[in-house]
Amino acid sequence: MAQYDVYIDEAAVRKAERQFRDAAKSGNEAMGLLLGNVFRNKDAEFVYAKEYITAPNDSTSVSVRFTRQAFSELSGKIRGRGIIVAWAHSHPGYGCFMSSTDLATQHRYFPEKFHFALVMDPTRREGSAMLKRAFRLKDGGYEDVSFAVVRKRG
Amino acid sequence: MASGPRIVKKDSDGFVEISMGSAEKALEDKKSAAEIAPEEVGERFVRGELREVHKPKIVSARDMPHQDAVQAHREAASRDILPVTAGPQNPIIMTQDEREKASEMARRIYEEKETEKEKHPVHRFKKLLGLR
Repeated sequence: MAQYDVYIDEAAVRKAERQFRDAAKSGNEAMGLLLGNVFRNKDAEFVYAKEYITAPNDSTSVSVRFTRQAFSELSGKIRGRGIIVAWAHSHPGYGCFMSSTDLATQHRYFPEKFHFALVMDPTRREGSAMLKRAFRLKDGGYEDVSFAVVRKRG
Repeated sequence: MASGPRIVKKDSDGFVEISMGSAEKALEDKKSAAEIAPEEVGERFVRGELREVHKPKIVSARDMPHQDAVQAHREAASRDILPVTAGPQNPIIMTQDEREKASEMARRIYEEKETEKEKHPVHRFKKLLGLR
């Protein structure tokens, strides 16, 4: 049985963290997409996010979106690399949660059962790592999803 | 034909595909999994060292009435401490003003941390060597 709902490759997490940290230096949010697949072990399904991709953001301290030009860049990066399993964005300074706008985005673009949202606050830490939480839709609201960052052996 | 668990396939990026038992059961499992998520679903598992593990905890704020949870979150956001969640049924809604205030405070805290870090001799040494 899978122990966690979501597994994220360490390289993908670090790539997102770097982008979010850089954006936070100018006080801005940032975003990107996580690519991967849905897997099954015995009776449990889980999501493995293997890669993080991003493209130019149009952001302020309290909002972020991809620029119009970003989508063609993203589609080139996605092709053949799995499916979009999540979107990731930062909340510089105001913690990890789903705002009403985030929930609307989740409902509109990430409504599947396996879709999740990764939210990080680059100004806060949890242990030695950047504070991060994963969420997915549930019963009209959202739920906190268990996750683990995976460092591949060998 | 029935059989025990066995490794079916191992690929270069660390995945191991396993068969958990009889072919009939595997087909049945795959069918029910496919109903949940139609994309690639197989009997695979992730191997590797797990870091930064997080399992949702039941925190008092979850059981709080919605208004109290929202208030607790707002206080947490402005004090730079870990946030609390209001629970799946009660998404927290911050006003634009509150987010801007929290963001401004975070920017200040971040700048202070950066300045503090830059004062550290190790940082200055790294800068001198062109490593930062």
